[in-house]
Amino acid sequence: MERLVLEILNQLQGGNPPLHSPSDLALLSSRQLLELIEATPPELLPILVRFLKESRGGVRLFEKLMGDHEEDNRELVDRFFSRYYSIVTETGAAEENPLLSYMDPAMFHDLAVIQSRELFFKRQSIAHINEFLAVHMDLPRTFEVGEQDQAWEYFFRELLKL
Amino acid sequence: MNPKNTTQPVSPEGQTGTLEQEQTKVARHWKVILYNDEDHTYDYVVDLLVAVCGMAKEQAFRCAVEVDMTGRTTVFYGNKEECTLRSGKINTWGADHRLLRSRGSMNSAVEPS
Repeated sequence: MERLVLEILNQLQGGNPPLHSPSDLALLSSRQLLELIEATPPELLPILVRFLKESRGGVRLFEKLMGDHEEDNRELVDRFFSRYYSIVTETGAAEENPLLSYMDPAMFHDLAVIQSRELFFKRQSIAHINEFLAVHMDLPRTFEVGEQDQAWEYFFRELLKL
Repeated sequence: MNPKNTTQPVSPEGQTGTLEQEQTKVARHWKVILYNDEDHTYDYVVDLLVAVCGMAKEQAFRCAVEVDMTGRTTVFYGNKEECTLRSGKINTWGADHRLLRSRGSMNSAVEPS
């Protein structure tokens, strides 16, 4: 896989300088690196970033990704972060109920995991919490705005009964 | 009294400035450093920095990439009290619900700037 991706990257940047391993990416100038990133298809971008991370270029490499703070590179830098952001984060997931998406009943038996999600649970809107509890529990009443703590206590108490 | 001493104190670097400038500089001489780990996602870092440090999502994402690539990133500048407050929130924000292996918060520290 690594060789295949390096071959594609070499083709994209014309093989000058040749990339024999991920660490060679750290030898590219900021401009060369950003132009290579610009030419890289979206599906390969996370792999390219992983290569950059593995090349252990550290702070210097990140400076290159930031275009060495030169105005001429700014557009390329902005496009890279914008593309990468849309590829590796959950854009558009805000409409879903995060509790239903991430607190699967399969984990209900593992109280340590559930307990580690307490703050996450309490940060949700009461509408999402009520919906989640209604799906998974025999909810006697809906909780009011601001009753996240009580809802959590109810949820955890019910889990102990399972 | 030498008026220069009250209005133009000498900075640690030996330069002079107004008292107000100096006070602002001293007050903001602290920063919050966020440290990388493998138990939190980019989404978590973005949500965290938007909520705790008041960053725009785009700026928060750049910090997420930086911490991932370099091991640390500065996420806030301010006086010691402000920085301590934000660092405390980061260190107790909770686990990343997106990763089953995530059981706790990220780590941050307050350092002189």
